[in-house]
Amino acid sequence: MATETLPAVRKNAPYVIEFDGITKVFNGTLVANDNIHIQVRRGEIHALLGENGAGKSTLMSILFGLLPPTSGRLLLNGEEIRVKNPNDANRFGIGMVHQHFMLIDVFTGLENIVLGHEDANRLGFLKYRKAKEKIQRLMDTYGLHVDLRKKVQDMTVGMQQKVEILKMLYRDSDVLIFDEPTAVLTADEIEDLMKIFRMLKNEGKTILFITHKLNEVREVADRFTILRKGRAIGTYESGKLTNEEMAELMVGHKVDFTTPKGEAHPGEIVLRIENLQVKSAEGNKLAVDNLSLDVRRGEVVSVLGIDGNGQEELVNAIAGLQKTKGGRIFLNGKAIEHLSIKKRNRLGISHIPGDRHRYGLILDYSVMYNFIQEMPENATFSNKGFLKERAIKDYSDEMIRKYDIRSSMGSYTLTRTMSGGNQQKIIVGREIERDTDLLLCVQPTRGLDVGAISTIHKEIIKARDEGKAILLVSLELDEVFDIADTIYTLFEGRITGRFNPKETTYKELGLYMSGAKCQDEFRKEGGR
Amino acid sequence: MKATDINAALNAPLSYLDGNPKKPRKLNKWEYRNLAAYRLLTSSLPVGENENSLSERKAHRRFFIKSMGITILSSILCIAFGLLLGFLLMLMDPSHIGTGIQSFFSYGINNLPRVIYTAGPLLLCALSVGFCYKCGLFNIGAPGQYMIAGMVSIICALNLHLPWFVSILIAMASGALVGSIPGLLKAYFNINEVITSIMVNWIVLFVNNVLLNNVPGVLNEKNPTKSLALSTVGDPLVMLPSFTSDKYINLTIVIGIVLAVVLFFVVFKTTFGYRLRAVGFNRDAARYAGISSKRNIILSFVVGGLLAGLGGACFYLLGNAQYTYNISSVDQMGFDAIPIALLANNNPIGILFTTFFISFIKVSGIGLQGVGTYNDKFAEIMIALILYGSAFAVLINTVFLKGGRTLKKGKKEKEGKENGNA
Amino acid sequence: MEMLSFLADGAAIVPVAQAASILSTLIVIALPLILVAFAGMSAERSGVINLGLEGMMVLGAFAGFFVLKMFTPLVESHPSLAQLAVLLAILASALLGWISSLLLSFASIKLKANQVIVGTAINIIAPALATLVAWAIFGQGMTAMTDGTPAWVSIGKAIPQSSLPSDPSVGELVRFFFSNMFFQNFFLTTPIILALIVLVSLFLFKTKTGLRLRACGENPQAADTVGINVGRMRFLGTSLSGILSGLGGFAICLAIGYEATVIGFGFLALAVMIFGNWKPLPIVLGGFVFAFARVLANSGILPDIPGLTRGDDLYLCLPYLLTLIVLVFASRHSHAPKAEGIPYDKSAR
Repeated sequence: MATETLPAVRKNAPYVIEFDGITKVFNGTLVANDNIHIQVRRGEIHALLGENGAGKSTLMSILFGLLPPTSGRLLLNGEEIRVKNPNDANRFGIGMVHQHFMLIDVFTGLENIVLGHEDANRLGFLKYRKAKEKIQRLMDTYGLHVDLRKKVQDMTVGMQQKVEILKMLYRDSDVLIFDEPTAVLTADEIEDLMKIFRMLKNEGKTILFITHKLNEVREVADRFTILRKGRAIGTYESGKLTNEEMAELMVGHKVDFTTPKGEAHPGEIVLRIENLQVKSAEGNKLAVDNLSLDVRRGEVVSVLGIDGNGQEELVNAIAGLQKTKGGRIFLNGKAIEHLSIKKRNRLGISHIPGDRHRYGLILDYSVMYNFIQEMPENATFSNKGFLKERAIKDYSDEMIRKYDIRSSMGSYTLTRTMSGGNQQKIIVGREIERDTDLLLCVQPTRGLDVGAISTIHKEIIKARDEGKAILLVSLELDEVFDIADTIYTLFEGRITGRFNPKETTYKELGLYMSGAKCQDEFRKEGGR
Repeated sequence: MKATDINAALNAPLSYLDGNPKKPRKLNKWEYRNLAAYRLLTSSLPVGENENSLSERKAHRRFFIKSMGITILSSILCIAFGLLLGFLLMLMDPSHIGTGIQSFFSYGINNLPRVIYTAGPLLLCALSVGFCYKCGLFNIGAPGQYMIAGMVSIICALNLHLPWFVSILIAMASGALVGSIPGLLKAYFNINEVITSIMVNWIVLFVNNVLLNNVPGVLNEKNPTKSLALSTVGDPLVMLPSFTSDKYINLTIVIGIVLAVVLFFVVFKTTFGYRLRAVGFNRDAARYAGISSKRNIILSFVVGGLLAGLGGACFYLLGNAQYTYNISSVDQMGFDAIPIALLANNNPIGILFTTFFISFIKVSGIGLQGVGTYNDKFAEIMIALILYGSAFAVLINTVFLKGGRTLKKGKKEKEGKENGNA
Repeated sequence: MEMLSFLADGAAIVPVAQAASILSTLIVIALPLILVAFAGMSAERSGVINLGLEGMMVLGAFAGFFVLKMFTPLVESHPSLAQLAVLLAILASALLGWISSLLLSFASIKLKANQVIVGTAINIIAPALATLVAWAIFGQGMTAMTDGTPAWVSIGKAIPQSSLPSDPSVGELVRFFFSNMFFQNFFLTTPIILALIVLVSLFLFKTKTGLRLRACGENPQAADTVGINVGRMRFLGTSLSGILSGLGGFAICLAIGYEATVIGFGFLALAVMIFGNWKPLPIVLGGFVFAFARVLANSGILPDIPGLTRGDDLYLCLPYLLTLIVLVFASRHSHAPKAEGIPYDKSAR
């Protein structure tokens, strides 16, 4: 709103940003932020620590004007502000570096920095002299050295991030938000970024950054706030808590087992992975780095890590959706890393994908057609290329009954119109019922309600008992404790520990997931 | 109402509507009614029991009728929009408007054989466009496939004196060959099929000119811009059989109707159609399921080329028309087919019916000739306006029937925000 | 001059005249072609695919020739007003080009419709509309309105070949050559287009608005977060596209004559744009190459392709073939704007 005046910078106001009872409800039911109070001091580095789904990004999006809060107030220098869009945020001196950079690939660094705040003469021609001088000053002050003439697409991810930081500084932002700034960086680049953080702080900037890595908090943050399940658990001075305490606050306490399950009776090895390397889709680092593990018939092996530590690439590589860079994958002793997806499916891989709308379902098909996604040419469902509609419908009806899938028109329902839980049950049912040896499950219960979660867990355990080898990738500790027989913790594409869920605690796993600890047998020679 | 609001409302529990204190604002009447209708359509019913399976089937039938209704309604609206604007344009010569509209309709009605005659090749081209669209591809190359097959069939008849059914097969193969170019480029280099199709159309135009002038026996020496009439061969077997002496009712429309039915089965009842549509709906999900999108993209362009090629072959083999030397524009037939496919939501049976509407307008335009300053260009404009309108009809269908891509996209993004990155 | 002494021979007159004539045609064809390719570029750089170039050209040409027709009586009595009338015709063509572009911008920006379909529709509407409006006003069959391009439209005078002595001096020949090259087909549009080509390049690549416009074609989400109004930029790009193609259509019809068609030059311009990889300099180059192929093919001086009659049609399809080949080789390094053809949806940010 143009009439809204900028609050005068009151240097005596103790807090530069205050979140006063911020609540955000999505879709009327999902509470992402629940009455959050956080006070950020001027000139401090403040970390927001929490697991996936804790509500960190939502909170920052509200501060930057990307999402409106359902209720609650934002205060800048003690005065209430309303941030309706990123432009407002810019005017209030709030800048943000998104996890996926907001840069124009074919523009140079310079063009990206000035875009939206360009200098021009009366005819509208761009003038870069002043901008260049200012950026040079900023680069010198903060040690952010970037080749301004280079196009962004030719820069490393670390360089691109520097451009993003310069973009904020060029707009004279005082409060700098970083959404998981280290997720895409290599070790050297992270070190660099930490240096930059300190420089920014020395020059009086306030930094708010989202992370789930305990070491980073310990290293640069002055204070940190822990978020869990949408609530702010507390704000602490850095160094006042041990890693163990931080991990426990971050992940919470273990809940009771909810799925009854018997002992696992592991049989022969079904899936063997040897020194697997997979490149990440963006950036130049290895998302999966020399990873080896075995999954046996009749057991559930879980790979547990915080989102973006390589689990997605691992599963994609096994399923054939992503190419491997090195290492081998064996299914029942046969090397499969160069086979097509179709052949892998036939050899016996089922896959419950993490992104059900992208991979798992064809939303414009009816339910019954989604049940035959990988196998339309199966003799049960087709004859000489003609679909046997009756047989497909019967199979679908049976699956609907078995997995309690609810919809308005049963087998005929357009999948797009169904709720997420019922959509997920289609995939889970389809993949479990297929006659395969290995079941890859990626976040099989993501976004589902308690009832659906328990049904799906029971089905996975049943599949295990029937002799399938199951590799579970989940971000939910509760889920992993509920159904896994063996847990591997994953940090930055490498396994950091192997645990029996009966003999470990949330706290211990939290330490290994956030890179604070690593078991000896998994330590890489030389280390980093 | 913004897309995100709709999503919020649709996914909210009913209390959201009934006065939940936390709701951001009340829905207005229109939104509420839409929501209620949507909810009614998608409300959860228990499944499994016999009587429920009956109600399921009823619900499915209702849904099916409704979706058909929306498609048909939006098609009719589009056609009405085109006609109306066309008639409005006739106000440029206001003194003749009454007689103009009258002779427009009366010409079409009095010349139904001619409507059917035009509908034949139009139908085949529209089936071609519609078939490719089922795989998510925009076959704007239908004119090129149509033209090359027309020329090849003329050569087969005039130069080689082949019987019509052999000529048709060879011509179809040429159409498939031309069609496969954008298909291959799309599959292997991921080049936009629209751009390549346009380029190929023009290449075909010029290649055809060279063929017309150089293949012995094809050019009409007395009128060197046209091909020779097929009747000069003297063998009636080179020509497509017709049922009437004026050749307006001929085999083309029969082939078209049969193919529409066949394609309906291929698209909706075979594993090939299943895979094809899977690639069209969601390329990633198809890949996940081990379906090769490359193979299906090429195949659908080949089939598209066969169909449009058949249209071109039938049109020229009938002996009514001669190929004309032209360097300035690509044949119109393939373009007129695009609105047909779009209005029918690419359903072969729907295409069958829509074709007759468009063909009717195309033929009726001739009736305007000679009335005041009117001419048959009015029909061209009407069809183009219908095409313009059909760009929105596609939108109406996706948004109101399927929840809409734009709506879902917004939702997905949000889900990511709340579940993934936070 | 010494080097050119071989020209001092009567036998040189014919080839010199031919060369001048070809170059003259090349200029008058290539410049509008480049301008229209620029029209395509300005729309696509902002993120909107404009397949309706051909149609917009036809409408522009129609408006221009309509004005010429209207002014013919006045100019015949006051010859000094000739270029003013041409200027008005140019403005009219740009105006109608812009109006026709509204069909595209409304559908693609406001309603987020399929831009390819809309462009195709415009291509069909335009020639039909131009024809029937002309008929309604001037009577049946009056598609062309004027009888070719009126003689008074062209500027300057070429030295007629007949005025040369049978054995001309080198100086006379050189003067003859240049006067023919420049003034055989010289219209007010020529300098205006030249200026526009420079101005549009400067606008897109050197100004603030140009930078913002290009940002919208590459990454509208990013542009939005730095406060750029994506819809407005795309409207600007599409409008510019309409204006340039309308003017380009008029200019090309001055050269080839107007008959409610631009004989595929719109699509050729599209090919030029792709060939030029959406960049001004390569587009200018490509425009000359493609226009040269076209002019040579029509000039009848190209070697006949052995064994073919009227084989020059093969030369005509060269530009399109070349574009296909370029597309294959450039597919990995294509500079096509990344967001072209995708409607911008704010809620999907």
